[in-house]
Amino acid sequence: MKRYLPAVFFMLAVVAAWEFIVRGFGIPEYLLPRPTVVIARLFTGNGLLMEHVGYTALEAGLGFVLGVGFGIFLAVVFVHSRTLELGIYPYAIALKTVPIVAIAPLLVVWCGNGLLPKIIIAALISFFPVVVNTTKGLHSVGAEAFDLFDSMSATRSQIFFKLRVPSALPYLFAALRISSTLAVIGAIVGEFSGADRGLGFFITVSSQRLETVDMFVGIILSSLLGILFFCGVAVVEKLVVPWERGNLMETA
Amino acid sequence: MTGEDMQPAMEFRRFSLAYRNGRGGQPVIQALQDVSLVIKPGEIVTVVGPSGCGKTTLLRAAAGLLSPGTDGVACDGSLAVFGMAPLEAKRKRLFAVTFQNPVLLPWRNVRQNVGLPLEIADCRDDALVDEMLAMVGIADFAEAMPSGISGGMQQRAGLARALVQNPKILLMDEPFGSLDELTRERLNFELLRIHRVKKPTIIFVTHSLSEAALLADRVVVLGRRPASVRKAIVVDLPRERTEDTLLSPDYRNLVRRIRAEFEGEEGGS
Repeated sequence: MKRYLPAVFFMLAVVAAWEFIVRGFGIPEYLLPRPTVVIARLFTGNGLLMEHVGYTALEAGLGFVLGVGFGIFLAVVFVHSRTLELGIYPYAIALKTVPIVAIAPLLVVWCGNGLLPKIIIAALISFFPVVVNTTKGLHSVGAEAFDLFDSMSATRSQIFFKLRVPSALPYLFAALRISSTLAVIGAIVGEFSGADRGLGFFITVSSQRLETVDMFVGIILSSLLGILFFCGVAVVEKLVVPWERGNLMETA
Repeated sequence: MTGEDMQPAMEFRRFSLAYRNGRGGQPVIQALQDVSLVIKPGEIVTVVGPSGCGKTTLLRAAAGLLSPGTDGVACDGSLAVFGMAPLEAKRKRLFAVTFQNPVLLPWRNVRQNVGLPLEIADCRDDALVDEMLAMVGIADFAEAMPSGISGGMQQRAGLARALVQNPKILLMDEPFGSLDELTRERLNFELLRIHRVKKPTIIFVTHSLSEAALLADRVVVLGRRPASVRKAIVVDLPRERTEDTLLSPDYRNLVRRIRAEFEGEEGGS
């Protein structure tokens, strides 16, 4: 617990400074609201706020699962077929350079204003780290480990499940950490391009009405949601990959 | 353990091996050239030679890990393991291999690592695993993760994993190369003790001449690449090796002889 004390103190100091500067200079609320006002709104805000959060969480969650699933699937395909890997992998990477913000309006044209385009955007954005890292992870097995399994006359599926998959797990989770927060961003970006619910919608509407306090509330809730996703992945990671002591986690 | 008609554990006859660059390509590296060597069942043969001379290739070929046709490998001559092709012997699980690195899977504890070959062969046997853990002296570390034990302990675990396969032939590629001298010596004696009990044929690649001399019934000195057998020195020390062996003049003479062969090879030719 002692480790976190400096961070907590730092945050308290920043928030206090913010509060006093806004009060001292008499900055109007529509430009920069005081943190106490924002926090108060956060807790007194109507139930609709939680509905927005829930909706965005649903989009991000479904998109995350979809993107991760497809990313893993493609990585497994790549490991089994060198030809497909050489053929598709470069485009999977190239596609990454297309800004997700630019695709969002197109998806709204194609799929309408509902849940689907947001899920697709969240899936697209969480897909890339997973396919790249999982492919790398499945290929990460050393030559000696292959020799070991070969010397034991292991079958292809034994090599895959007992060697490649566990080797890839730390890489996969490094990607999931990144993807989890990206999925939330993707869902919100999707909502910016057209939605009638969700945190992105809430922020857009607040902006149009110059409700700066609400915008801050939306921003805080968005990042809290991202943190929640991230922590969820971290918890699962601790359970599934207990042997990695975080030394691979800074990669990707 | 004698008898002219006994089938050799391993027999190289003018065995050559080259790595080719792709199908039908030109030989890129001639790794082994006309290796001839007959190894009796239960014999301990240590292999020394200049670094990069093809010791590991020799071992991998023997283990059926390099097969003609795949990996751009081209072979010539013959190599038989109890009268079988290495690939067939591998399928019949006659071999166990230990490597320079212990190659323990980091997500399995020591016991699970040692039990891996049985799992692969689909014949789990917890009692056997425990017996082997005790035999190599790491019973107390059975539940430890590989990252939590020393290099010497890791190599012991690697050895236990090899022994659990009850191999007829134990192929060891510089298994103790990265250990400090005392630990290496202790593991050498452990290996000899285990050999007395289980009597596998052992082919042991090393770059330590003293280790080669201490373990062997025969020391094979390989020439520079492409490797061939430059000299096979029969060790006339008593089979029972102890710490006193290390101090005996016979042992020192033997190391000197190996060194002379070895340096003759490294110096020129």
